[in-house]
Amino acid sequence: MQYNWAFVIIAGAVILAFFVSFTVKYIDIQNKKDSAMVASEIYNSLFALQKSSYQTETPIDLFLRTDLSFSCDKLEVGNFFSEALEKEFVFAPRSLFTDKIQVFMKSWKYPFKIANLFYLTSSEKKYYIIFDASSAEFVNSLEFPKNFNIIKTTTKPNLNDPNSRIISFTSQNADVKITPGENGYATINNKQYPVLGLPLVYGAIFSSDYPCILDRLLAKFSNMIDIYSAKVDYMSALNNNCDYSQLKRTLSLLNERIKSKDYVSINEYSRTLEEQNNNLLNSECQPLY
Amino acid sequence: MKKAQIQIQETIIVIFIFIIILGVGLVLFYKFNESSIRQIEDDDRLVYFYNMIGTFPSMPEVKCSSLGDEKECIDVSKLIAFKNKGEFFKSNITIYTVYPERPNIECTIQKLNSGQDCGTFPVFSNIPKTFINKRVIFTPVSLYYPDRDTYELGKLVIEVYS
Repeated sequence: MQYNWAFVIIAGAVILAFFVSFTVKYIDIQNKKDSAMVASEIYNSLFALQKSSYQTETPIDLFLRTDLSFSCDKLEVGNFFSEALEKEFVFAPRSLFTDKIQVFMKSWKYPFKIANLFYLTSSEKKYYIIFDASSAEFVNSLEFPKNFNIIKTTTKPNLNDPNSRIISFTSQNADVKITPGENGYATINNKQYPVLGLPLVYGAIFSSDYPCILDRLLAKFSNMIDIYSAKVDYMSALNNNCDYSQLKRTLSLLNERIKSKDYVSINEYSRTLEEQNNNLLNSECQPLY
Repeated sequence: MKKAQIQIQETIIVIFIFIIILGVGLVLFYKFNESSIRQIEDDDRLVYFYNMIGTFPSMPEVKCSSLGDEKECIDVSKLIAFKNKGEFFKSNITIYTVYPERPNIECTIQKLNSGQDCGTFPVFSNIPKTFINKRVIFTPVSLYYPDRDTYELGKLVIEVYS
């Protein structure tokens, strides 16, 4: 009789353990599968938007509410699946828990187009923009998408909310302090990073990983300069009536400054390049870009 | 051996076989789901290339522009410079000149400079030694020669290997 009981308990435990492990594995696989589908949905939506030449605002509806973690070049969905974002430049909070992502896209031209930049957020996230009399004009000139929660204020809110980000355009410290201007910069954790043009001002506002994305963008900038240098060679070889030598020199200097991270000179050479490009058209030559 | 002992042994064997069948079922189920995740990734890659047919001509690396304004064409001078600079997984990307008809010879600055006729622009090539599937996607594109300020009709061909 005792032997029967022992047998029933052992056999029952084995069968129960089997079903438990089956359930655990099933949940794990299903989560992985759902995460893969969400990652694919986000990636393909962003990739399809790449072809747009215009500033774009659009939501991405996900089929489930999930945790999304954005890092410099990677998206992780619910800790189950990760998708590389090596070619895309995504400025987003470190984490989002949502089923609807708000996307804003802008082209970064400096002076020629380098990339399309994506700014991602959700309705839960709030961005407090602090400004004063000296920065009011600049802050009012910023065009924020309608679906982004932007609160412009002159007083720093006293918040301890992980869903809020405080951006200061004043002397007050905040999550990000932005000093606009020709050689504007963003101060993040007491370190200064350049904001080369308006699209990067938005980048510093919306991204938790601005320094890393900036490095990737500068690498892309350098690659684009290589392509335009090759175009200068092409134009010089095939169009002898126009002089592209000044442009070639500026491109080379610009590339050197990018590599040495001399941000003030990058701004200067970028403007020189724009001037030289416009002058080409005045001399009835094909502009470089 | 007693009858009761024989019955218990039979039951043990039945349960043992039952568990083995369930175990095999579990492994098969796991493998099936793993392959369905891989399928999502493969489909994802294919969607990437279908999207790329639209996004490639819009890449700033190859797209035409004039004083910063983008134009709907591919700049041949940038296209030559972009050869093998991108990373497009296992694929072979080439642009062929369709009209006017040109020979299937790769265009380089030297060839164009010497007036040699050419009509092929290889962009990227990473053809695996072994592959199961090869899909070919293509679309017409407008090719712009900035030195001559002329446009020609081209065909962007993307071969996707898996």
